[in-house]
Amino acid sequence: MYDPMLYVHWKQAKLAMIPFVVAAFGLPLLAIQGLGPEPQGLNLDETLIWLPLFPALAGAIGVVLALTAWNWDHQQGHVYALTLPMARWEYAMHKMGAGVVLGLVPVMAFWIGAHLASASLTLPVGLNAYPNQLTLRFLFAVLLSYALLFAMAAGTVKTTIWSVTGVIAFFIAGSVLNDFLALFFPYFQEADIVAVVGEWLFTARGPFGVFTGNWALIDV
Amino acid sequence: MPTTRWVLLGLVALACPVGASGQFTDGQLRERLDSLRPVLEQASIAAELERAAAAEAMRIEAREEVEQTQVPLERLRIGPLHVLAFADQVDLARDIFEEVWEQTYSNIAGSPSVARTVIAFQWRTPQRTVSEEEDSASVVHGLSLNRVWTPTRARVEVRVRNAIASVLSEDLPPESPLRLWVTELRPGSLPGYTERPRGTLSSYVDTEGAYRQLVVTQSGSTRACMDGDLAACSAALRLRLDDPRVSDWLSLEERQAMIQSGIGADGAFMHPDFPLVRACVEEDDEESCNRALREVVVWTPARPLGGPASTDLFWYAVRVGGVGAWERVLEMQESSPLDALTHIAGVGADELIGGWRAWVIESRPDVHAGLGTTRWATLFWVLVLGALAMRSTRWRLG
Repeated sequence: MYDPMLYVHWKQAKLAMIPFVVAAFGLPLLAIQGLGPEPQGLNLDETLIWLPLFPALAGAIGVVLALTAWNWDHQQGHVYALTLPMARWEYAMHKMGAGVVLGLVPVMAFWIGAHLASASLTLPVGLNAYPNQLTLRFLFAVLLSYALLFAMAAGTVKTTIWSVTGVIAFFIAGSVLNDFLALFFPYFQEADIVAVVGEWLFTARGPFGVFTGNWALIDV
Repeated sequence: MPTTRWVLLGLVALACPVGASGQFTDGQLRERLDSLRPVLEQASIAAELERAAAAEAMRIEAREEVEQTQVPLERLRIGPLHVLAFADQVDLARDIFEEVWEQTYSNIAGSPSVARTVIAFQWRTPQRTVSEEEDSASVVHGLSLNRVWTPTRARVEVRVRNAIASVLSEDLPPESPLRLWVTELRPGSLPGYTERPRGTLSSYVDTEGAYRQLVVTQSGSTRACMDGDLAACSAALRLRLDDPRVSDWLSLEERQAMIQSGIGADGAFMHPDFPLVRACVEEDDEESCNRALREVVVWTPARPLGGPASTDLFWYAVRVGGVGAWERVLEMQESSPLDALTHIAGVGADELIGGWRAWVIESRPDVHAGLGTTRWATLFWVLVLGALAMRSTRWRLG
């Protein structure tokens, strides 16, 4: 049952994925532009402008994969899925697995691009290239973005709207709630739950920590 | 309507018919007006009293309002620090200042600036004012932190650490070579400003940043320093007060490359100073290269290792110096940075620079550290989201 689902997803996603595969391959090469072997060493500042594009590209790939995973299903009113002799959870699992496999295509392109970019430089003592670590980070960022959008697209529009509204409401009304709790619990006099939650979301242990780590291909 | 106005109206009413009829002589009129004077005076006094009572009532009301919102101030003593905090934040201030002092400044003693300064601390409160009258004998260093920029306790600790470093900076005169060196200000810089810039010490010891600077800075002296040449380290840090020598910082090839990249490959032959550029690039003439850097590329000599490296070396010297190091900082205010730092640390120049270099190299950042934790956290969240997707309700009827 998995193979046909992978095939259907591939048919849906292949055209949309082409520019992303090209971008994944080319971005590491673009990022090292102007860092040629020069007598005065490498100016890493020139690569900084490219770094935010790495997590942005990974996020975009995950979004495209997730939307193409459910798009055709929604358009056909889930008739195909309902005709299959399998449980809903099993169907969603196969579908998600297919998307993960397809996500490996741009990740592989990225890995090749990162290795080519690293090989094209002569690094001075103390500087290193990290193509494998960067690719690993890229892979996990793609997976997370894909899983998030996949879960949202799998649910009803109502659930998605409620979830997104809840998050926005928390960040807006959180400070007011914090002040209210501070009246009863001393802990909240010193803490700001919105800031604490915000920081946790983007630290190594939080769900979005993978997007905020070090995305440098060349570093010390 | 106040009483005075009624009296005046009465006077006018009395005067009008008198004036109109012309039956009274001037003397009689004066007499009648004089008879009304006590009434007028009485009314004026009453009005004055009324105004004073209203003003007093307003004052009392305002004072009550202030008393309702104002919290009394308390003065704390944490090590040599004097901290002024509002009563409702005394425990918090004590905790934070004690922690920061223990962690960062515990071996600092004898600072006159710390002794005469009171740090007025408040966090997340509606910016209550600590007036100068409350502590006129001391210099008040305000530290009012709002919730937007310092929402968490960790950030408050950073600000407290910086505030203490800022107070410690005042132990060194603004034109002290050591202070100028650590804060990277040049003597008499920023002309046109009525007040001289006062560089403050940074409390942020970024040894990883110093390592990064050592590796990445495009200068032969920093690379030689990496390789263990302590004289090159000293030159790159510009620890002596002599004029900067560009040849100590940049090799001939580096200077030639800077000039070529500064004016472009084609521009070199069209540049009005072409002979100078040619003498540098083609004839390897060092003096022409130095002149071309100044005149053609308009490059201002700046030491390769500043910022994180100099701050790190300063605090490293204080740490090596141990107890009594800060007193030695005060003794060497007019000396060159190298003499001052060796005196503070209590060791020779080579030992200090060599030790610092080794410490920086040991502190090489693990660039992709934490990827392991991130990997597991991401996998966990992917599984959670996958499970949520499988529990979707889209297929339910109704």
